[in-house]
Amino acid sequence: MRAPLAFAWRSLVRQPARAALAILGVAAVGALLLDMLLLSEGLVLSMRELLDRMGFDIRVTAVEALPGSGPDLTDAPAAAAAIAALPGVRAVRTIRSEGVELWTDTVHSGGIFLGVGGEPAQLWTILRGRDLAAGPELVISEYAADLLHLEPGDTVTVRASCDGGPEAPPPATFRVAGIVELPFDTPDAVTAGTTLASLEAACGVTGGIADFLAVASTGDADAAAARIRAARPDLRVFTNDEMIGLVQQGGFTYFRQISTVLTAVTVSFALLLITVLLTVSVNQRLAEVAALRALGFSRRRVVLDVLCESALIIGLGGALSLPLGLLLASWLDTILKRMPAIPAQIHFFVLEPQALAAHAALLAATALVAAVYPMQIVARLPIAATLRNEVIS
Amino acid sequence: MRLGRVPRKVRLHLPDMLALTGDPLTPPGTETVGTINVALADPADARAFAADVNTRTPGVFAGRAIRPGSNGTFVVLERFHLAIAIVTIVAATVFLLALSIMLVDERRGTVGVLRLIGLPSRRILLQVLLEGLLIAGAGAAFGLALAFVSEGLINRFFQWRYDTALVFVAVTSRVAALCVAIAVPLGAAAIVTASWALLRRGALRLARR
Repeated sequence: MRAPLAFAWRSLVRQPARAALAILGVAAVGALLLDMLLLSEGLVLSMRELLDRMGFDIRVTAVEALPGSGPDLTDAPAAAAAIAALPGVRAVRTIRSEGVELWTDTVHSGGIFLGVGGEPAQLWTILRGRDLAAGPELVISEYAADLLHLEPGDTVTVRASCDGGPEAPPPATFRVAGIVELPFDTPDAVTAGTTLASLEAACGVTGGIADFLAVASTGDADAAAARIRAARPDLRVFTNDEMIGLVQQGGFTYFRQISTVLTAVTVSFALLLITVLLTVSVNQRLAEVAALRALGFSRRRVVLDVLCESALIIGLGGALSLPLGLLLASWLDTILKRMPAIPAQIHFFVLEPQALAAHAALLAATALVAAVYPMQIVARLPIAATLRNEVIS
Repeated sequence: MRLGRVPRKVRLHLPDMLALTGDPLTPPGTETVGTINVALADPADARAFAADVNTRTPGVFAGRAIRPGSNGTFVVLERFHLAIAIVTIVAATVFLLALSIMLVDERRGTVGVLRLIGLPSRRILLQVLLEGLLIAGAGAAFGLALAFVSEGLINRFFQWRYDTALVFVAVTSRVAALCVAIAVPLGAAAIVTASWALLRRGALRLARR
């Protein structure tokens, strides 16, 4: 195998311009192919990583909908207490979100007010300052801090607008404990987080309502989810895997389908062009191939030379396509993340071994299939007639 | 009824719509609306205007609307598709150049003879340019035909997948003109560039004499 490879390499090096252009072309197509493979699962993988990172593996909602998108849980404290008492459950958090108006002396803005019940209530990552302590304190997102010119220790006036509460509850003053990063926050979200008790106080209501419960199991999420379903059959229980399933049923399938279409187009494009390049190249070297056959090269050997040439072009282009593809993915990710309501920590392109394996397999198949027609030309080449034609011409 | 299942749209004046859909028990003038769109004399004042409304009217939240050309979902998707189109054009150009070099190289003997019998390089280059324009034009026409066929297939697939009458791919005259405007000069330029490199060599060398 080394001899045909070396021979194919010499054929490529003899025509450096065309070889370099062919390799560059494969690199560009390969980069696009890699990106489409990364895109097909990227959003789902990124979502899964984010869900896992939050430390909860079960969500409990009132209906079969993504947390926050369906109706509220109406007996959240009782449900949380019942679930916390179940074996296999390590912790339960009650999550409630409401609309809020925040203002300082100079700036005013609307946003989301998040109340978290349960101890410890660390749904966020502290960037500056500290976490919530006793009293009317809140943490805010980085964007909200910039917009409202707030730093840890400052005070902010809050007016919450809550389900089941008075239409215009009196404004309340909160102290900013810290600036935080929330896992599903969008880059331009004005989000404030506090304890559930403080949120309910700001709303002027007593406890009871929540968007959903976040549950951490002791290890076996499926078993814990089954116990919760048995204890509270009126509620909907989702493990992280089931949440991903719900997400996949939603609008995110668009990117998978567009990536499937573009993968098919890209592979067809590469196949067509490599076939044309190899065919033209072989047709230009028919006399040379015939001479080699006359000198004693076997039919199998010259066919193998063509296959090796195809493999070299696609192999070198494919290797070059990896860094190119990652750069391109980073650019495309930046473009797509400007879509409204996309959390800052979600990525559309996620590098994973399966995508790399699929990329290598598709390129290898392309190299093989693209070489079939030129190999046929070489295999069926009449030696004497070709040499005679060459001499006459 | 599913949203977008039937592609029909009815527009009414707001009073007529309220007359059709309003609750007769609701006193006139107390109907609610979800959103009020405001067009400002100077769009640059949007942020200040929104802040003013928010301060004066508690319970109402005013914010700048997403401007056309800003970061709406479809605008972002358009940019994404444009980025993919750019990469595809780059890849196609590189391949085209490789192919052109090979095709021109194949005709180096013929070009050498033409030069030897007295045809100037400019005349040969013009011939190559015309040939390139013809090939690129034919390729662009074939590409457009392929696009029109795939437009129907892709739309049917996504309309079936999402159970909607929305159109996902539309090969408009503007898009078709843009494709031709890119493809034909690009194809012709690739052939001329490859030929130019060849014509710089001497006639005898080209004719291998």
